[in-house]
Amino acid sequence: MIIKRFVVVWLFMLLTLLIVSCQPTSNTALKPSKLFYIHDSHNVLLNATSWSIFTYALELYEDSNDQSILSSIRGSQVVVLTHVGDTNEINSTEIFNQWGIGKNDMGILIILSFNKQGDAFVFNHITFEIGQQMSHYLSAFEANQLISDYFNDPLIPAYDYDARLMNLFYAVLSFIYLNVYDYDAYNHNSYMEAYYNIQYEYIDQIPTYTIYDDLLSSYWFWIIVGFIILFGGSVFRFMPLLFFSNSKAFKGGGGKSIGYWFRR
Amino acid sequence: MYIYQFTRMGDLFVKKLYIFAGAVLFVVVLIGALWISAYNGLVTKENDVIQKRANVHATLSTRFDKMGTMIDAIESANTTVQGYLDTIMAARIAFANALANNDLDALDASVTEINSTFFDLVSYVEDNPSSYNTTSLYANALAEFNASTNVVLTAILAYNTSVTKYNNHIKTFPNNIFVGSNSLFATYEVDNYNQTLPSFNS
Repeated sequence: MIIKRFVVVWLFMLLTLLIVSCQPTSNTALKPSKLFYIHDSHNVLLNATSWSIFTYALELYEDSNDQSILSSIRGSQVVVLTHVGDTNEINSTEIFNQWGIGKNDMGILIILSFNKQGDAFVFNHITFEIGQQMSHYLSAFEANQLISDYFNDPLIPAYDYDARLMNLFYAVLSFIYLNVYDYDAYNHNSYMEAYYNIQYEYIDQIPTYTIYDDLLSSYWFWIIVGFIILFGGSVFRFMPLLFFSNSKAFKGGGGKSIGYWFRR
Repeated sequence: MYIYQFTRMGDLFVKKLYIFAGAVLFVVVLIGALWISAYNGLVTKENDVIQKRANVHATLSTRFDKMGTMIDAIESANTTVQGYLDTIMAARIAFANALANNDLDALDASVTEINSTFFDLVSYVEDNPSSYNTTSLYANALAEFNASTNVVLTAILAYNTSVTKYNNHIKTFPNNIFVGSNSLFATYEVDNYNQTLPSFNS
């Protein structure tokens, strides 16, 4: 009897996996990464760069949700995505809107495109997309100037894309803190110094999604688990799966873009 | 006996009458429901098309303002450049008038005129970089213009999607019986928008 129930439970779980894997995807766009703020599936960037972007982008999101800030401009999110290959394969506006970058449309998406030549990644261009509400504060005109001043900073070697990206990233954050949220100061230089101190340190890779994350995020999974428990299955059988998903979920704030982007 | 048979025939007749009346009522209700659905769908989709078209015009107006910024960033203008600028300014006035008068044909004509002349202007500037490609202001204005062009493209794609839904609605069965006589909307051509502008000072 116990063996029979065990088999039924695991058959149900197998069925769940099958249903989840067979579900049609509504789009062909990329899924956001587990850490949301940094998407580097080809490991183009140094781990220090990825972790720094995640840390400070998350900090901006939390700072900008402060109750003292006007509710209509809360929740700024800056997301960095690296892409290897033909840029025409991806639609930045589609990605922006599907990921929902920024609460109250206060989002920015920076895409760095690379070509792969042998084992090396060669920088191709940068795409800068600005959310609808954010565009009232940061125009493409100003964003282009930030790229000129910080990403193309002559003091940083041309090959050091990580440092150039971080220089731009902190400049964008600085712009938001000072011009959107009226902070008194933002010490860009000290952040860059801190980054240079850890740039080539050994740091773990950023975590990525596993099959268990996909399974646990599916509503089908929870429906079938509910049925199994309803028909006498033990809840303890699912405990091991729950341990695989122990991280906090980072998500977009539901922001939209009207296609306000440029590339250079 | 006769009275009983007569009464029974009368009952059958009434029953058949009910069935017939029920069938007629069913057909009337069905046709009514289809007509209501087709008409309401037409109104909803037509309003959506009109709203999306207004969005396109609004984004076009913004884009033309950005053109003005970009033109201002050109430090000096020779006769050729001045000719382009005069044409663009005249076409922008025509665009504003057409928008005010809701004259869609004149509107499209002015948009085409502005776009083609502007691209000629940009190409000319690109071919003479030493004269015009000296300030970062121009590169920034170009980025701004490209971004506003992408906004127009997004609005046009949204408009075209709405037009396709509208056209499909009035031309598919059974809607075509009820609302098929309404004229189709034309989609926008994007030829003048999806060209990649040169990027200076990158």
